[in-house]
Formats: sequence, C-alpha cells, structure tokens
Amino acid sequence: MIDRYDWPGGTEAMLRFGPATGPVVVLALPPFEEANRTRTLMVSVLRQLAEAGIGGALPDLPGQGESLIATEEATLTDWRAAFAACVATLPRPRFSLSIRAGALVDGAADVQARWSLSPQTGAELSRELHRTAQAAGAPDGAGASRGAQPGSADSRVPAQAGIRGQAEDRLAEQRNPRLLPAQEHDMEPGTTRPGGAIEIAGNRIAIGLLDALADADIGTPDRIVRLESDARAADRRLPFSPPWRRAEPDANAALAQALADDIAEWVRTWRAA
Amino acid sequence: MVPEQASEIENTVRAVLRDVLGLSAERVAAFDAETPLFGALPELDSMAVAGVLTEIEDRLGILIEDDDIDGDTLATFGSLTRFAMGKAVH
Repeated sequence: MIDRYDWPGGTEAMLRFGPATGPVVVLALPPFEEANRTRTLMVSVLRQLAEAGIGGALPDLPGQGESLIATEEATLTDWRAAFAACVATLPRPRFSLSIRAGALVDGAADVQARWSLSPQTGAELSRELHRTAQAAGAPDGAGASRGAQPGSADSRVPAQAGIRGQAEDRLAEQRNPRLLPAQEHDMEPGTTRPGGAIEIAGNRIAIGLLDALADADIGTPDRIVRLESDARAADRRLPFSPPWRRAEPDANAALAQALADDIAEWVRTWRAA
Repeated sequence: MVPEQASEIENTVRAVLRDVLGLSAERVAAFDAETPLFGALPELDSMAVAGVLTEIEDRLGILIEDDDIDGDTLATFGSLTRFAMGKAVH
C-alpha cells in the first residue's frame, strides 16, 4: 500500500506492508544509486516480514526515490528529520532497519532498537563517491564521456575538489565554473544551494551534503549483519555476495529469506525482553 | 611474497570482479594476466571502478590511495593483481 507521511519540510510517500497493528519495522535505504540496487531485495524482505505478522514501512526521503524535491536539494539533516517524522506516525513498538549508508539516517528516530545490514559510515560513503567521481572524470576513465574533458590536465579537479569540500577548493571551483559540470545548467539564482552540486553516477549531489556525509556517524546499531566477504565486526555473517555492488543485481530470494528470518527473530527477541 | 599469499590475493581479486561486475565464476576463473579489463568490460563503469577498489581494500585489509591509481592499474587482470600485491606487502 502506498501511504504518505508529513515531516516539517513537506510530505513524502511511504510504502506500507503487513498488519496495521503490532510491531513495525521502518527501513532506511542507502542514498543515491545504491537505493536502486537494494530496493527490490529489501521490499522482498518487508513482504516476507509482513507474512510473518510484522508490519513494515519504507519511506521516501526528501530528494530520494519519488520525492518531488530535487536530489541536489537533499540534506542529511532533512533525511534524518523526515525519517524520524515517518517513524513517529507509526504505532509502537517500532524498530528501524537500515542497509549500507541508510544507517546514517535512522539514528535519531524514536525506535526500540536498530538493525543494520553492512552499515557504511559517512567517511566510507564519501570516499566511494569521491572515487566514483574521479573514475568518471579521469582523462581515460570509464565515464570520461559524461561531462569531463578527456585529455585535459584539469579534468580530475572538479571531482576531487567537490568531494573534499575544502573551502579553498570551493573558491577555486567558483573561479572555474566550467569545471563543475552540474553547475553549468544551474546558475539561476535560487536554484542551487551555496557551494553548488556535482554529478556523480547520475545523481546531482550538493557539495554541502557531501561535506555533511563525510563527517556523519552511524551511531551504534543494536544488531549488525554483514556478508561473508566483509570481515568487520558483526553479530552475524551471511554467505552471499553484496547486491549493492552490482549495477543489475540478481533477484536473490535466498538472501531475502535469510534477512527476513534474522529480522523476525530479532524483533521477537526484543519483544520478549 | 610467499606463493600462498600471492594466490590468495589473486583469488580475492577474481572474487571481487565476479561480485562487482556480475561475471560468472567460470568466466573470472579463466582470466589470466593478459585479460583486458578496463575498456574491454562494459560493466566496468565509474561506480564499478570505485566498487572494485573498495572491495579489494576491504577484503585484503589494505589501503589504496586514489593518487596511486592510474589508467594502467585496471588495464588487465595481471596489472590489477600486481597492484593489489604491491599494496599488500607494504
């Protein structure tokens, strides 16, 4: 069912699953391209939880999914406020689920406990975005045709400067606006936030958001599940490869089942506590 | 580097390419040092490059500085594996 929720900055859509009463899990997907890569898997997880009697909600965050707010207007503060507002509309007991950098978003919500799949810190997300931009902008990089200038000694500058977000780099960008592809079409007053935006793998991301993400903390999820190729600390490790690395991940029913089983058991444990 | 460690690194690079590029295990098992990657595999776009580097870092417990990467690093399976081995021994 498609529902809506209000937050201080407007109204966004949310998908609802399962019973209207009883425990409910609220899911935070990672931002940008990884949301596309993980949505099908996690919707499948929410459907299985619904069959097990656990309600689910998947809110669109401002500037993500079907939101009417432009991606480059998105801020981390708004994501957190919107997620918390969404959670507050739902009956207790409430639990949050996150995957990858979704763990940056659910920390402020009023939930009984937090579950996270392969949480990605803000510093890690920032580093990957930086790498992606650099690969796209390198003179002979894979994405060189997308806005960069092959052969130009300066073609790596915008990606690096934009993501580092250092004040001196931003000043340099303003002196060289042609180096920042996302700004070329957005110079009208009021259409961009101070500092501009940069296009990374098809998403125009505000430099202010990149700065905020670089310092953002995931807090301490109550349960962390990882996949077996990831050696970092985890409460459980599942034998699957990471779907968020694939441009077109296969539908992985076994992974969805394993995640749904883990979450259902975890919710039961908290309810019994 | 002992042969076991070299073999483990090579296998890790194969697994990363399989997982990130969505290639079959049979296909990556057939990669040799001369197998071209960058420019030869349409799956290897900018996000995939970032994914390959980050997964290699995480799985081998190494740190890759972006300044260390150039156009040749991902040219072939051999060049990528040699790069990873060079990082792993430092």
